[in-house]
Amino acid sequence: MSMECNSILVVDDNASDRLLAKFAIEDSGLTEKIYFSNDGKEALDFIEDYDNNKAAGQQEYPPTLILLDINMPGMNGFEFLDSYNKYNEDERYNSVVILMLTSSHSEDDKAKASQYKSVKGFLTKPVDEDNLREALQEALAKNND
Amino acid sequence: MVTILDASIAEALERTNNQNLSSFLTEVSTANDKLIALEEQAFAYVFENKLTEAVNVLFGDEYQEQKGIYAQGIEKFSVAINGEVNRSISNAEQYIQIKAIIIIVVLSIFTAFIFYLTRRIQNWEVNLENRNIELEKKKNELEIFSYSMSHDLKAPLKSIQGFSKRIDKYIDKERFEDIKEMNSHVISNAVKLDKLVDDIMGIIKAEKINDLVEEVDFSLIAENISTDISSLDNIHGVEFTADFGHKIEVSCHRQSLYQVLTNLVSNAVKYAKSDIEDAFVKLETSMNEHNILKITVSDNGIGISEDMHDRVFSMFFRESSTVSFGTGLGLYLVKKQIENMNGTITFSSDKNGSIFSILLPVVPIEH
Repeated sequence: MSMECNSILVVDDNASDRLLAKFAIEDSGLTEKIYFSNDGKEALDFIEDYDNNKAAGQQEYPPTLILLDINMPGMNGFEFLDSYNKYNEDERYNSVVILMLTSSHSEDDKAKASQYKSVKGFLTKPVDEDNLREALQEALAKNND
Repeated sequence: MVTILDASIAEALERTNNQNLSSFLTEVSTANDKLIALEEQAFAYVFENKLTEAVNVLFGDEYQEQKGIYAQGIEKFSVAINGEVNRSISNAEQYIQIKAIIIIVVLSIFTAFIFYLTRRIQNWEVNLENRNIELEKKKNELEIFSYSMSHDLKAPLKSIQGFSKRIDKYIDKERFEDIKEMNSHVISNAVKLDKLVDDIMGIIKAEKINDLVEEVDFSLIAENISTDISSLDNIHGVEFTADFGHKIEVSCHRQSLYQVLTNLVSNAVKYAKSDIEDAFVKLETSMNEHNILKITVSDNGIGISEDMHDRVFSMFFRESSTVSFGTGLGLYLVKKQIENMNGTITFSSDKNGSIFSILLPVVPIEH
């Protein structure tokens, strides 16, 4: 099972967490293409621009992995997932894995996130290369079931 | 009614017998006795065939006189009886009327009491409902508080933890530029954590105002705020002015008011537009005739988007993810402090800036 990613989108309002995710992804060797969004709305715009990007030859595939924070001002993680639901029917997005980023072990958040088809797992902050690879592996295994 | 009347008539008769008419009865009785004696005499004459004498007795002066006395007595008696009966009937009617009035009064008092009780119960119900709403609000606030605390308190700690581990790893790899960048994040997270703890303490204190009502000189407050905001990163591009129209000295909760104004002015400076030359923050005051002090903090900053307006004073509100400062507790704390001082705070905001208006009851100081 290949762990290589086309690209990874990190959705987090916290600059420190974005930086930590960047180092973790770089050190994991999963991909060199890392995109960042400050909140759900920016992330949604990024996804919606996929077709435009593809036409411009800049972004050939949707990101293989989306690391999604839950608590964000503006559009939060759950609100993003509500809007993202429409992509579940689009086969181009079948292989997209969404991992929720959490800094607390809130069971309520986990239960709520698990109801979204596109959510494949959870990643506890601070993100490092080890817990990132581990979570992605579990998620891919689940995705291939 | 009938029973009462019968009883009243009986009573009248008894009273008549016992009291007022006893003299009439004596007269009538004496006259009657005399008349009977004269009639017996007349009958005796008849039995003796002395008819002339008998006629003389029955039509004689004495018989007529006694007959007159008897008739008058009976008449007086009957008139008196009538009076007593009428008085008794009138008394009975009065009695019934009084009884009716008493019943009406008692019923009215009872109805009023029931009405009063109902109102009291309604008030209690309303109070209870208000208390429940208040408690429910507190409970929700507490839930949001504890949920957000677990996130907002943990987030900077987790970041510091992550950076520390990675710095350790990168020292071996001699990635000093990355270490430097991470170290600045460690510092900012520590500062954020410190501010968060301060704000939490502020909220706990704001539940009960600790500072006393004391004299407040607004020009001193403005000076202190000026000093406080001078350390903010982007203050150099923002002009802060305090215009009180005239010297205002009032009595109010000085410390709370100072914290509120520092918070509002700092926010305005932090969210000033960075791409304009005339960025300003103004602190103004005016007093109306009812001793209500109006304080406004206005700016021409980035403003608050309309869909966020109903969340501005909520716990952990942060307007923007791209431009985000502070802990998200500042405006929540401001509102709490203003309400504790029996004041109100409102705001208007668009892309041209924001105006926060405070109305505060104060005691003006006369010199």
